[in-house]
Amino acid sequence: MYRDERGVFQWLPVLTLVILSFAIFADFYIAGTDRLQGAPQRIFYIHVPSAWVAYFAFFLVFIFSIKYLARRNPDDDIRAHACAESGVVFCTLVLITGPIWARPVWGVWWTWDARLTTTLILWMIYVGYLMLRAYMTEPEQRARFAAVMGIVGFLNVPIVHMSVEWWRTLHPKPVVMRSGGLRDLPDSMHVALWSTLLAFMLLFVCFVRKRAQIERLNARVEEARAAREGA
Amino acid sequence: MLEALGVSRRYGWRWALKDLNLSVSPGETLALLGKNGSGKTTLLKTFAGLLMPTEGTVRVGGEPISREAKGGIGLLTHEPMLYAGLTIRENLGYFAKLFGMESGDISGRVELLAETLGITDRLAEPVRVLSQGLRQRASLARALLHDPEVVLLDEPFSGLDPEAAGRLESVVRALCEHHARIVVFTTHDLSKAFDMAGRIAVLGGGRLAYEGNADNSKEEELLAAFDEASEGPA
Amino acid sequence: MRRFFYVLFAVVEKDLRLEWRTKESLLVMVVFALLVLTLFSFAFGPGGGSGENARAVQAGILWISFLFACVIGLSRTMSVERESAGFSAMYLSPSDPSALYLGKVVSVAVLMGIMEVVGFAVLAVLYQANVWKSAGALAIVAISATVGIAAAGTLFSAMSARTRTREVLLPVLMFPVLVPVLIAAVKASEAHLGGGGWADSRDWIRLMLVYDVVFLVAASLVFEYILEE
Repeated sequence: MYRDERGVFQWLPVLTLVILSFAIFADFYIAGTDRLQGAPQRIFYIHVPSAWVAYFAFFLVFIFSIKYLARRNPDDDIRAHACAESGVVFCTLVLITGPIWARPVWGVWWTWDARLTTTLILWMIYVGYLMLRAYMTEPEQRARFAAVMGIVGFLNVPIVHMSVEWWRTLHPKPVVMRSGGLRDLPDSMHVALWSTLLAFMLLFVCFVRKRAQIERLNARVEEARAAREGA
Repeated sequence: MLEALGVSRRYGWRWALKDLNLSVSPGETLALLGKNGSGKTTLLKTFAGLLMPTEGTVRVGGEPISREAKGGIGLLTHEPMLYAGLTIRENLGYFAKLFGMESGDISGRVELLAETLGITDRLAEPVRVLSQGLRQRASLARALLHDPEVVLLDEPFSGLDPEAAGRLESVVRALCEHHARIVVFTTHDLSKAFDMAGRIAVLGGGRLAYEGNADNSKEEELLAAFDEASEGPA
Repeated sequence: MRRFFYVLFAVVEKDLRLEWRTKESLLVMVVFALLVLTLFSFAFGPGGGSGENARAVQAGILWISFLFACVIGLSRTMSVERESAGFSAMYLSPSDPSALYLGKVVSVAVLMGIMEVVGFAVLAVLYQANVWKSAGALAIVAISATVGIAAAGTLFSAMSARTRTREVLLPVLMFPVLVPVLIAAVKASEAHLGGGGWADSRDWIRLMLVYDVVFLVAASLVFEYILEE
């Protein structure tokens, strides 16, 4: 079950660190200062890539959950778990950076902006997923239930987003930043955005691999302990 | 034919069953012996399709167990699997429908089973007021409703007063005598196993510790396996 | 197909009969909903405040109380299933798990429907809400919302009933997933309580119907994995 890290992946954390350092440098020094928002806009380079990584993570949870139910391979369950946990980390980052960005720019911490609100609900769904796992002791049953939650939770994402969007548009809006879309960004900002995204993606892969590895070892420990006690 | 092929099942973090091979042919009665936690209940539930093996397969009639195949299997467990708020008749009616029996056939079948199990005059009583023995009998009626070819009984005689135990024993004996039926029951009672079963298997630590015909000459060999299985580490 | 509905109705019949005998879930649901409706009146002032906002508050209070009451009712129903190992017994049978699931959803929805009728009546009395004038429209809103709540509630309560903490986990799993239904039900009810027409509620009802279909289909397909022991 447990393999030593060999080959390309051995260097993954190092590569991640290098790219992450470059990305942080790019966020602060390469990207120009935004004319309207000034320095606070730089949080965009953390905020947006985190959101993308989080959504990608939850998509992976969905995929691994389906795979688990179809093939019952415990490793798919471990992967789904690792993705969910890492996804929640990035999702939390989105929810922390969102208000920090909103405060100086819009004057309020929280605006019930549709995208941020959807992310908040998503965060709650996947924290629920992790709690469900934490409260279950029977590994096979936990894997099945978590997979069900991983599938149903993800299917909800578009509906949640749609409902929150409508809910907001039917309300008087606070001063909402009019983003001109990614195409209007100057090149220097593109460098910052995409390098951060790459760094976060690699970081996410590192997290998931490490987490899955720990979980596999954990399973071996538990199994060995049970075998000793149960005999 | 009921077969377990290389069946392993993890329960909690333990292997409740480990690479188990066992088959029972139609007309045969198998007694499963073993200490508590030796995997008897897990094996029965796996045979019934209630638990999926972590590894290996269970076959019924040569096919991997399927939803359809469950229609030919009856399981009696420690949990009565009856709703305490409903009467025996209502409970049996509900479960009969889940097994796809037509409403017209149900009452006749229920009466017949009640007659054999001696619960005819209790059919209209809610399960919550019944004694342990009556519950066990009602539960057996539930397991036998659809006249299954494979009957799996988990400790059918434990915790019963002699009268109820005697009644249940004769019913089970009648089941075993049917030429095409497979009966598997677990018990702690060695004499019952020798008395009723044609074959005996002993489980220890999720593995098969002994398997052979229920022939009194083998009693010592069996007892040795039983002790060994319950002492040594799995 | 016939067999599918035969099993589905067997489950509904069993659940409703059990409920009729014991009245455990329904009673506690209705009382709880009434309690929350009354408490909110203390929190927001009589009638849910005054002016334009009152109707929005009323609609919100109504659905929050239904949602809370539903959690209580579901916990009751599911603990009955747990005590009698009902899910295992279901899984022993050759029945289609989707039929078993949908049967369970129908019986939960019926109980919720009864509670909602009482809830709307109380809203009309305590909050002077315009329930009667648009009763038909509100019924359609309530039905589309109730199906969604019952669909999610049945799946998650079947799951949480088998965890260590049982009831505690149910709202944590269920509420975030039900956000779209809550928003839509509140908005649509608000429109009709205010004497508004279909134009204001049509999209919300449509959203709920999409949710209902998606959830019912998805949960029917995965319910089997919940039943397995």
